Amino acid sequence: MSEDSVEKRLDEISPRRRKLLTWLTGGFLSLWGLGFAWVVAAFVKPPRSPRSLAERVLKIGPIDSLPIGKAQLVRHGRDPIFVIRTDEETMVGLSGVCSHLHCVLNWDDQQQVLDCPCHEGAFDVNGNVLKGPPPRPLKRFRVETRLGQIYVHL
Amino acid sequence: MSRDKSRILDWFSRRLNLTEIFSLLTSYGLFYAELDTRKHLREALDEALERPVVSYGRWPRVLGLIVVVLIALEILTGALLGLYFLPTPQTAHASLGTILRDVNFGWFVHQIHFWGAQLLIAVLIVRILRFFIQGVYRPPRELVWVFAALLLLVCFHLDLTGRALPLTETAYWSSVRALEVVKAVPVYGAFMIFLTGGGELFVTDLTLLRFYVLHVALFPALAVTLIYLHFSTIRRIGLTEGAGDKKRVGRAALRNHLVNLAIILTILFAFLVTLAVLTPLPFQREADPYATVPGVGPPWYLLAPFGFLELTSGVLPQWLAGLVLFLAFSAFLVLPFLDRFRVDTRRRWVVPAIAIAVVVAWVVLTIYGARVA
Repeated sequence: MSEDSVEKRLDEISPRRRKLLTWLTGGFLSLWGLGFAWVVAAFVKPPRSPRSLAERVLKIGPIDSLPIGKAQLVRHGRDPIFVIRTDEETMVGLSGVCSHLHCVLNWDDQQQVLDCPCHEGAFDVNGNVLKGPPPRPLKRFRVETRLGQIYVHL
Repeated sequence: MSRDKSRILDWFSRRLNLTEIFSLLTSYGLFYAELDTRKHLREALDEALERPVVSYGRWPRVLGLIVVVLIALEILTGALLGLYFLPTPQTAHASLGTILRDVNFGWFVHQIHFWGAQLLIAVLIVRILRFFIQGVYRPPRELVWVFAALLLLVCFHLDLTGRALPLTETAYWSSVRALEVVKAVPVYGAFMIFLTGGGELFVTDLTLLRFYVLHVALFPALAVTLIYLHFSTIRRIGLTEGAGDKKRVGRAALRNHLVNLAIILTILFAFLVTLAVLTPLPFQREADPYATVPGVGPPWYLLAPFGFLELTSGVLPQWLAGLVLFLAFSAFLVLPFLDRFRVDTRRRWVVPAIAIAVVVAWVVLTIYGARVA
């Protein structure tokens, strides 16, 4: 029996089954295609933290040097960071750059707010906008204490 | 919807020769059919889809297609890896670490690139064996063989230059073993050492960069060129028919054949992903050029020549052993011009006998090479 007649018979017996199989195969291949496209896209997107641990964590100094209610400006390249000690346990890390026009903020001890010297914007200790033109709250950083030392996770 | 699609097609085919462009695919072995390039693409395709497939291109003869797909996959994953890999001796290993640990699916892309290459070489070897046994090198198919053999050799080089790049322990020392084989071969060895800028030391600052350039630019370009030459030659003169092919002169139309190919591709990807996930290449620490790691042999496909060199190291002078290797590889390349046995003579058994002898010798030497490594 030649293949010719077999295929013809298949078509005659169940054209729908044949169609289904073709459709299933196409479906499987498309799934592979989708999967691969997803893998490629995810791969091309640069990883969030390709740097080493030393570059991801910033050591600030001993916790005793930062009294409650005070803030310390940490110089880190062009992105300064404020570390504010709000009570015995808690410390907050906030970007030191105003979200409006990139002016460097000042810490006000009395009001417990971050003031912007440029356009009178102000932020509270959680980085929320209190007044002025800034469009967004400040970016927050995780602060951690280990063996009496303060660390900021970038 | 379909009217829109055909309108777009029409717009392009009035400006481009789509049929001609599409028929280029057949020269890369993706689509075993001749297209009438004077006709509209849709018309030409409809015609081609109903025509029976030549017996040599039919299921289960899909090794050529697998080769093309695997090379395309290697180019894609290679380009992806190149987005993060930094080819200097100081950064190579660390940047692979970044790919494997930090980049999304980095380990997956790396494993697919590695296992795809191993599979590609294996398929090329099986395919060239098939050519040998079926006599796909007799006139007028000499060039089919030469291009296929050259493609296999180029893929060896692609794998060799590629596996040295990350500078892990096994990668480094395995490449040193491989270079011992390369160096032993006269003329060719000297040329390769010259090309890679290596002297007595294996990896200088220059060598890694040159391996990289060969791996990402020169050898891939060669491979793609050879694929074009190989498959356009096949399209012109075809392959010989296997023993069983005469019985199956049926008319499986190209339309059905393409469904079979889709099935094969699905299985191929599944197989590759399984290999990549279940048997990943381990990420070792960086190689120390002053501390040889014992027990590391050359890549698996070079174990046989390595075993041969080791076997003869006390018996033959090194230049003579190298010359034997050189002659063996040259004979492999120009085989079509060496075989003087006519198809019809009574000595037809000679060729299969030689094939079996070569394969047995290769396997024995591979086992020996693996044991002495």
